[in-house]
Amino acid sequence: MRSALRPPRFPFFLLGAGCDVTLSLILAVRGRSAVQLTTETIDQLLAVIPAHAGRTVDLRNVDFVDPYALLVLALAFGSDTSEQLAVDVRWPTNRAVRRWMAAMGLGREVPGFSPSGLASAGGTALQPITRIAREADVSRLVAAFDDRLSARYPLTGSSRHALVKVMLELFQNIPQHGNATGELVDPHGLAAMQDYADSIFLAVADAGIGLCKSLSLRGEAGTLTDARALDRIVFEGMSRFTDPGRGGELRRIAQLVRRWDGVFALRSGQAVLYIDTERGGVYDAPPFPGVQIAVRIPRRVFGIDEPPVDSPPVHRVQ
Amino acid sequence: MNHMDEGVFRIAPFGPRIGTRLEGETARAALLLALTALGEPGRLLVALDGVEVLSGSFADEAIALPCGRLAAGEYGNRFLVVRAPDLELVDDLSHKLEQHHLAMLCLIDNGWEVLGLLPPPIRETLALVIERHDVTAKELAQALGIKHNACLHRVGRLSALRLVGRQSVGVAGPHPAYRFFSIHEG
Repeated sequence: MRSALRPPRFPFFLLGAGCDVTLSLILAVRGRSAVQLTTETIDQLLAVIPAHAGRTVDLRNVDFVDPYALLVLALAFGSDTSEQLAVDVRWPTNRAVRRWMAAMGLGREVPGFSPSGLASAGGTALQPITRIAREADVSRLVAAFDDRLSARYPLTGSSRHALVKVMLELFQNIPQHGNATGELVDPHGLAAMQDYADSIFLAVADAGIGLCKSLSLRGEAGTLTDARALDRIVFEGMSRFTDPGRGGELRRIAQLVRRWDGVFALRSGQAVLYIDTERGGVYDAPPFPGVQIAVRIPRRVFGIDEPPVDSPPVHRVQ
Repeated sequence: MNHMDEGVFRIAPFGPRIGTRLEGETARAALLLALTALGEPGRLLVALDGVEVLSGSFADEAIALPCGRLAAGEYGNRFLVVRAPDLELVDDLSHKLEQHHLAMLCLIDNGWEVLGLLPPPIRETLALVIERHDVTAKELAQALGIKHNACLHRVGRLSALRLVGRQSVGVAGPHPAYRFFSIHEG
């Protein structure tokens, strides 16, 4: 797998120039002026937010948000950071998108997000944004995610169990590593899950100290860049602990998702590891605190080709 | 071989889908208590019946770490053996054992497998010890068609990993002589 540093290239997206007070993202495909905020595009937004501190971020033309981008929005515009940035966010006008964001519980994390009279509950939200703070709560939260998925689909055992293992490892990483230096006041992470016509999408994110700082606690690791820290953790299975039994979980998860022909993205600091069926590598990214992870698994892995038991999701990843 | 004391430690009471390192630490404390309660020689069967998911983190804390302490000689002439309904369940445990350069015997249905890292020649020797239940290095060397010293190396490794038991039976020349016994059955 390549680990050459270069910016991710997603040719169907183009970042438009921001006007004086309004950030505008233009999707330059088939003449549409709509925008999708996804694992692949959210960094374009993060790259320009700091420059718009004290100004307006206009997301009104957003017509799709995936769970990873939703968690990034929650962290970027949540109560912990919005005061520092002092940005005024114009939320999507698309009713389906706003309803989904509300049903996913964005309002609890971002006080400024208002569904504007829309019902906050919706059948399309598989697993709303959930806070992860204490390791003692992790198994209960994973069980809740698993129950939600199982209630909607008759899942085959093996893949379901593998997904539970993925969640157990990713969720417990937050209390285990997110604030390993003890410097954060309210350390916590977020997780959410959504089903689509073609996939199940799990996102886990925190605004903690990040992989590089965590790994640097291991004295022998030396000076690391974010990209090198990603490399050492995912490809070498390194952990901040010297115990040989520690580490290797993210590598195994990345391998598993690749075997499933899914998408795995792991972002920390100024680097992102992105793996899908066509590519895999570590790329530069605009700075953002903590660790953000996307795991998108084809539905066929779970043996669920049929429609969901209750109402079908509105969104489909394009 | 003398009678082997035997105990069973069930993981299922800690949950069907486990778990975190924190939960693994709790399980480890209970497992080590159960292990020390055994007489010597003693075998503790770590039973995974009723467990649907065993994460690598839990498995490391609850099973791999005690296995390492056992191999380091902390618990005398005692052994740990895993019993699992299928190999998939113990896949992450096997990886954790591999990371520690350890190995464990795993009972599945009527057969057995080795979890962790064990080179094929040493596995072959283990299979023979299990087949014969109780055997000397000389007998093993003859059966395997290898030199006595090579066989001593293999059974020494198996003994160090606590995959077979070892009982002193006097001396053979300048060195102590041993019989090696299987821990496959209690």
